[in-house]
Amino acid sequence: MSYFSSTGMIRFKNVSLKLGGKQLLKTFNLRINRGDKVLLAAQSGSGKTSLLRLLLGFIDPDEGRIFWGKKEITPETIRKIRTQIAYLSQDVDFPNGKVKDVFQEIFEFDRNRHLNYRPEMLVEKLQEFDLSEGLLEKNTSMISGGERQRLGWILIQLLDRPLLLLDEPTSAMDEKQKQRFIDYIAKTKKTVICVSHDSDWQLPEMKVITTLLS
Amino acid sequence: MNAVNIPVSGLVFGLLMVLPTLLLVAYFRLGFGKQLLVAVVRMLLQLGLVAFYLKYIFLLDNLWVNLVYVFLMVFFAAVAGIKNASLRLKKLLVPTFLAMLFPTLITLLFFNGAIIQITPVWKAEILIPIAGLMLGNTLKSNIVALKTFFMLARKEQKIYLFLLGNGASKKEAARPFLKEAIRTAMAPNLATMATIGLVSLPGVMTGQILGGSDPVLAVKYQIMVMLAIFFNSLLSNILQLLFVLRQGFDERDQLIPEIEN
Repeated sequence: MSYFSSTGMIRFKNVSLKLGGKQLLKTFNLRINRGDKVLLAAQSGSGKTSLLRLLLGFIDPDEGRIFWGKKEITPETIRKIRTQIAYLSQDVDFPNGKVKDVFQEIFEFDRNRHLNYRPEMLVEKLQEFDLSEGLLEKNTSMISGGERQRLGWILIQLLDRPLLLLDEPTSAMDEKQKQRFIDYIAKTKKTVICVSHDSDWQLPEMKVITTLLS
Repeated sequence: MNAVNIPVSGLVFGLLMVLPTLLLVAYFRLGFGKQLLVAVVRMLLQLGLVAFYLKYIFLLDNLWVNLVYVFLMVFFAAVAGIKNASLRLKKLLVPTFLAMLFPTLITLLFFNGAIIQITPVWKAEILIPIAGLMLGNTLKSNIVALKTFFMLARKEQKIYLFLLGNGASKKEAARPFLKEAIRTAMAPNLATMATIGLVSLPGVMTGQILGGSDPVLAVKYQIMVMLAIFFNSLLSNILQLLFVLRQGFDERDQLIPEIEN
């Protein structure tokens, strides 16, 4: 937890990024403190997903630096930083397999083993989120988008990481479902960066960012 | 061994079969007459050469000569494997070479020493044909494994990134692709083993029976060869993909796009 000793948890310093000939980030600066909630609401195709990918170290900025606490995100530090993150991608890209097996496998990763996952934890969460227990035996490729998203939420809650990166995390949900997760984010002490066009996400506690081209 | 010889006149008759073949190609305008001729000439030259030098290698039967011969076979198999999988030769040659060499050496040693129990263990008459059989099969399955792995890594990249972003190491995130690649690569071997003898007589047996061996002995060899091939291909597949995981991804655990041609 020494990563959080400094005040700023994440800092983007003059970050520029160009992908496929398009300038996505330009001398972009952002400071995110521990517990902050950030909503990326810039228009589509503006590089919001790329910003999440920069934090995950999947891509490298063309210019500028990104810090995690005092440490810069580099190939040397990125693996440790990833252990602090839970990531909900837009399509919630679970691998192919039965839901219960996929969860089992994810919690058997070396960096997740300390969470002491038991299948009952998943069953409990399924009930909490109005999902049937029959889902356990279904293949991840055979479930609906809404169910998939709720399973994604279950995963990131069980992973219990300090930083949540959420990419359009409620796009396939009805109002009632959606509100439950928005409330969860409003209450959590975790740091959250959420990409969404949905105005329901614009909570008072959220820092809303509408352009990445500073 | 009392194989039925082919007399010179028989060889001539055999070569004459090329003529009606060429006529058929020309008549139906299949368009590969020239390629066929080139292929026949290449086959004559290459196998003629093999007949010539194998004879001396068998006579010589020297440990170092045999080893060098096996190394060369592995080298050519590795080059062919990378080329057929449309991958960059430079970056993957050494790992592919090693992924084929190690299992092959182990399996050969075991085959000659423990199964055939021949002395010396490097006896060329067994070592070289068996190495050829194993490498041929390993080559085929390694190509399938490599192609499948890279195809999945590209097509299912989002799954890989999702897992990487939720605690997986590179190896853990790529495990679904590794599993699928090995299963796809080994499926033909499994099917062959399960149906062997039902459809046609397999190659090793056919060769031995034509060479005058007792069918019982031919079957014994065939079974041993099948088991050795399966083990060899599987081990080689696994090593190959583990090496690819080291070489084919950058320091941020991202697939290096330039690895594919």
